[in-house]
Amino acid sequence: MDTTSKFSQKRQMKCKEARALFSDYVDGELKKQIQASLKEHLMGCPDCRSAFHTFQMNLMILRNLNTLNPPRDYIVAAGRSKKPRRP
Amino acid sequence: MKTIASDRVRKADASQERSSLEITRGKTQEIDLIERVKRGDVAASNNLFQREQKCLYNVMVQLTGDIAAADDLTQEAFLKALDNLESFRHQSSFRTWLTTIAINIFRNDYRKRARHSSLCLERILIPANGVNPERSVIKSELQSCILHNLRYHLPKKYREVLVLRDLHRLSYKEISDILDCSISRTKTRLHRARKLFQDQFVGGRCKAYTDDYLCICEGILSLEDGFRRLGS
Repeated sequence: MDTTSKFSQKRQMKCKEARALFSDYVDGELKKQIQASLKEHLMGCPDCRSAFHTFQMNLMILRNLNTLNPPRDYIVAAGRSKKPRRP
Repeated sequence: MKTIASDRVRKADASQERSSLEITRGKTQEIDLIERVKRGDVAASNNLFQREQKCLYNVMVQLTGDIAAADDLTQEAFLKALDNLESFRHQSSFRTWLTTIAINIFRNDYRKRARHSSLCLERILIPANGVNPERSVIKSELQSCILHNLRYHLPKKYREVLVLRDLHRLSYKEISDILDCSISRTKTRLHRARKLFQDQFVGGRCKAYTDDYLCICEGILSLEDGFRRLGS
């Protein structure tokens, strides 16, 4: 179901529709009209606003996962088991 | 007013042009490097793989949740890439191609692993009650919980897309190329993956017990608590 194509600015956005758009919204994938409608909904709906806040915080924690240094060099000599180049 | 606006547009255009040139320059350098590797240039080979090893190793850690397995699989991915480098035709970036190899190796390995390894058996330490934990301890435990949830509570197809998008910031196009599925399916999976991860991480209750170990993700920290303590 494509929520964005079904929605128009004149119709009020429902909570279920709004929450389905969180992922696209944070990725910048929403058209301006839909984005504006989502923002309007969030301003008027404390439950969805809270849900969006949790969604954002969750992503932020995930995206701040530390990277590890590899335990060794995975460099392999160019000559090792390399197939000969075709002429 | 019109002049200021025009100036801004010109500066934006110039900046975009510089970025495009940098991308083109980077791509040209990559092509040149890979062709040198194909001709047997050892220094070029070292350079090429050294650039990629940290990223690839972390992809494997985040997918497997197992440091030892990630080490083995990363090595396997590099060997396979080197053996098949002749077939790389620069239709994608080298990183995308290498990550595709890595994902396939991970999937093959996943199929071979015993079923019981999907049970949640890890012990996760939490700070003692009544002691004010240091920020670094809290952050460290959160990190462990993230990896734990990725490994034990997210099905493979959701884990892959979440790792590639939210941990490695690959584009939808790159992810769809690597995972060999459409962009719209990638977006749908990502949406479900984020929801599933959030449900498990924030409100999850891991109920697997054994005689010796207790999965103590539940109640490790509330999301709000964790954020306050991290100072974010």
